[in-house]
Amino acid sequence: MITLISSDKRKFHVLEEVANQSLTIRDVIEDRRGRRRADRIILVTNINSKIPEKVIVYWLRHFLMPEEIAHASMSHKKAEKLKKWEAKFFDTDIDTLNDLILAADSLDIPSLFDGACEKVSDILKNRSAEEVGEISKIENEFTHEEEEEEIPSENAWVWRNEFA
Amino acid sequence: MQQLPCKMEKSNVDWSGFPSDLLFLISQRLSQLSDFIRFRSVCKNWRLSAPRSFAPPQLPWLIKFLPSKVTYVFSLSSCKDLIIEVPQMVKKMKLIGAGKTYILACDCENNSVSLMNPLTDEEHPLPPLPEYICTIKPVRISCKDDITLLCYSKGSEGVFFVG
Repeated sequence: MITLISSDKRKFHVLEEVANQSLTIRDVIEDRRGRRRADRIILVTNINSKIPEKVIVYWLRHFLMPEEIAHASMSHKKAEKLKKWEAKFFDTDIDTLNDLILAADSLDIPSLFDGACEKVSDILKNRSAEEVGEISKIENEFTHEEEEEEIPSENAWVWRNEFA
Repeated sequence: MQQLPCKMEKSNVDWSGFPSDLLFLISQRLSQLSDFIRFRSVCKNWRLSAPRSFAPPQLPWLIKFLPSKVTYVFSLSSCKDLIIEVPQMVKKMKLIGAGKTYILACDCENNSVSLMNPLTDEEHPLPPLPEYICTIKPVRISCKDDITLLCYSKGSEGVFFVG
């Protein structure tokens, strides 16, 4: 059993086999193998405090269905079920997706990272730059040349073809 | 525009400061060229994170030869017609062939033939056709390095251009 400590000082006890889905944690455990018990405590303070819980839920679901098995011999029905579960898991607000991507990146959890990125790109699909800017609260800060020439001409092409 | 299956709440986090290597990976999941262009128009950081040369690979576009002022291509990726701008001069010409990234257009009145890339506006006027050729039919356009080889045929005769 290992213990993860979040940025708001909460403790999460997780089976090593489950936490091993994070390649970062796996490496840390490997490095500390054979040392004192205190070394089985891992700080995950660099990620948003709401996220460890979500990550653990994700781990548990995937631990029950390891990916190697998922691809090789999982029945069609089970695969569909996992897909549905993932769709629901990632159907969350854009801020949580942001945190999940950053967490999956720092903890090195490839499938979580892929799933969250996929969802963000789904949100971006078929949305205008202005809409995306509004959702993500981004100011564009383009140079005069980009603002006046490049972007309008690229987008004119998109607009023309959106309704072609 | 189709409706999207996602929640629309506005964000409270700073997406403009999102790490650019991660933004790049997100941009690589956009399979439509139009989505990629819009991604690049959101803000400076996003634009720099998704270089133009990493635009999503597209299936080949099929050029539609229609007697119209605009040029249509059919996109196999999105299953719809797209309009592409062709240089003003070419609008008066007849499109007779396409190969690699080039289209071949001919002005039947004064026998001039041009080879052009409609996406970059790059244009190579070719030597005028010999007078005895009244209709031309492209057989093949192939580009290897800098050499472009066009083969025209009229009936059983063949005419070759090297440009």
